[in-house]
Amino acid sequence: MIRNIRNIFEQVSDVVYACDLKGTLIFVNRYTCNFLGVSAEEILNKHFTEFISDDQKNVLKAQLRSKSLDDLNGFYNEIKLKTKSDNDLWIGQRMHLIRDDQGSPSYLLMIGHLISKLKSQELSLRETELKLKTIINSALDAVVVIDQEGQITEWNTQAESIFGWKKSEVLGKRISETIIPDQHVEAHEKGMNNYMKTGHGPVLNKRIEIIGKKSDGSIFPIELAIIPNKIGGKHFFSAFVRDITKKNEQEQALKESEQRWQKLVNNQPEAIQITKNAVVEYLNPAGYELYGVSEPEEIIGKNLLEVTSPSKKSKFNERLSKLSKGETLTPLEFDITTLKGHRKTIEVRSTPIVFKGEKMIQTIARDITEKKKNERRREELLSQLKKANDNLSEFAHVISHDLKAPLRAISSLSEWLIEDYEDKLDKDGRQSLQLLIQNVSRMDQLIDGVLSYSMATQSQGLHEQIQTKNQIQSVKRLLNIPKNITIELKGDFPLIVFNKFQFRQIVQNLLSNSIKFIGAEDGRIEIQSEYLKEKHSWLFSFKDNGPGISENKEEVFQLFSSYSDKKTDSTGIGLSIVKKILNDHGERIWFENNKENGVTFYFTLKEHYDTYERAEIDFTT
Amino acid sequence: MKGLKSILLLEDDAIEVKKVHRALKKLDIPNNLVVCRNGVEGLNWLSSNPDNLPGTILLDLSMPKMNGFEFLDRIKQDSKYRKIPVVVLTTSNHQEDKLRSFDKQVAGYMVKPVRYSEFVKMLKTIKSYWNTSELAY
Repeated sequence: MIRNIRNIFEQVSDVVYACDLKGTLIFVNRYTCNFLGVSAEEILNKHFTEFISDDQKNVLKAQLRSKSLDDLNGFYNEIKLKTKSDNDLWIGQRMHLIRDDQGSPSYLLMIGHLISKLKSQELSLRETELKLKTIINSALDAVVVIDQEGQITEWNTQAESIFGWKKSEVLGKRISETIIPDQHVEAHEKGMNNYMKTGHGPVLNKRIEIIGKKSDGSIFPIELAIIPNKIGGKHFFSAFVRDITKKNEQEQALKESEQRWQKLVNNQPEAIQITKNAVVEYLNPAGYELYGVSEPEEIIGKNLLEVTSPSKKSKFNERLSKLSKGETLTPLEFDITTLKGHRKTIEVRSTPIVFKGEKMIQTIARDITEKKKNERRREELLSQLKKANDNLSEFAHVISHDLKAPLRAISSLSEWLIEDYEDKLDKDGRQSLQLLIQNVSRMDQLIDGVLSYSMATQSQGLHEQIQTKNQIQSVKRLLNIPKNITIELKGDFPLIVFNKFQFRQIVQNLLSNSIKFIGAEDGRIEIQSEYLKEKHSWLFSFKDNGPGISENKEEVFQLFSSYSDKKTDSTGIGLSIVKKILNDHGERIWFENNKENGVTFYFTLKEHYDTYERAEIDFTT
Repeated sequence: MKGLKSILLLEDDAIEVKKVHRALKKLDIPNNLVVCRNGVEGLNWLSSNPDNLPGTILLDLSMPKMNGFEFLDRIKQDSKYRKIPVVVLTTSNHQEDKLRSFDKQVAGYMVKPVRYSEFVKMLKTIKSYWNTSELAY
């Protein structure tokens, strides 16, 4: 090679190298050595393919093999070179076949230039575009890009689903004829024009909430950000759109829920306070009332522990720490002095809540001053009542002992007179003494009767479940029933909850009454019960075939009504006691004379008697 | 009358005492009747006659100073007297008094009848009781 040409090749900033016809490198210029990172000595006399990237070696060999030497002259190919530091560099090279003076092929001269940069740029550009498309399509927001004429140039999958337009339908269309609601079209056009003139747009580069239009014409709330850009002197605008219908609904629901809470809390008759570390953050109107607060600053921001009496402070602290651990607390009762100086008893229930995003404690306080007062009054009354009952009981004792003792004495003395002076007494005298004794006996029965009456409703036991049939039969066995009288229980008898003693007393008195008056040769008493569905009650009837009752109906039940009836051994107290027991339970007793003969007594009993009064609203009925 | 145990009557009403006397006589009951007018007197008599303890105690419930229940409590706590049968003789027909008496381990509970003749019959029943029980004491 001519020396000065060689020098020229050494100077150029292109890849220049030469190899013999076998491919052995005979020349490599400095530029090539530089970017391969080798010295000329290192590569000369080596086969040129040693510097070809491994994956390209076979490709190149195949290319070369398919061509004759002449074909190679002027052949352009792109090959990947391997640098010493293992980077791949693409070069584009053209081969030149150099012949000697005789015209025989002498060697191959390659002149090439680096195309690595261009090659990777081309690749990455395609990749980036694809990536970008994928990103845009997988974005959660709808992405809409328009050019400066307002025509849509980009429309992602989300945009299709939000607005209902296919990409193919909207590309090239103006957004004012697709997604901008009619009422906003004018403002949009003006805004665009203004931006083109001034470079300013009040709605650009920020998130705004506005409405959008779907392909079916329906309007819906959107959140929108428009970013203006300029490439190659041309403006375009990227819009990121989010459908906020749901978000708005949620916000609305939240707002409504908040309002509801406010209303609820404001109208609560109970005080509701929210505290953070014992400092009052919120108090409802009932709370102002309860604590006697006139101005918010009197209570809001106040630490309640500071106004707590030292004796209670540890108790309150303990409750606070339990609450913060999420434990549930039982209601607490204590006394307070209000800001107006009134003393009140309140009951509080506290629960941990989140208020304004922070963990706080909600306390519901109730004024139980009146309730407590009533409770005390009730207790007092109850104890008075108990005392009165005890007194009555004692009174009964005194009567039975003190009134009866003289009676017994009179009776005994009369009998002794008869016994001791039998010879001296004439018939009249004996008769008088007998009458005296009889009257004393009667007086004794009357006293017993009055006592039973007064004790009738003093409970000798609590209400219990009783099998009425068994109880009636048991009473029947205890009574001394004359042989001429049969007592029959007809049909079913209920299980009821009632005071056993009182039920037995009712049965006993009604039966004794019938037995006493029946008189007939063939006496019959029939006892029956019947369920009255409407009244949830059982109707009991005691039917006899005695003489019936001719008296005024109510008089029968009055104390001593049969006292004047000398024929029988009756005090007339039995029915009064029955009536009293039934009346005390809100029930009644009545009688009807039978068509043929005798009388039937009726009374009702419920299946159950509560110890408390029926509620105003009873969900169980 | 020696060898027969006495009957201790605790009763504050003179006529009732007389009634018991008459009835015992009528029923030919030869045992000696010791009368105390209340529980205190009764306890005193018992403690001063340790060798002559009664075979039966007839006990009225309502008495001054120490009533029948208190008296029962005292003698049932004392091993010396615990086994003497006690028959309550009272005007009280009260269920509560009956249950309370039986809780205190009385041998019988008699409601005093108004008629003297009935009382005699009642005592006759008691008599049969202490005649048979005498063997045990």
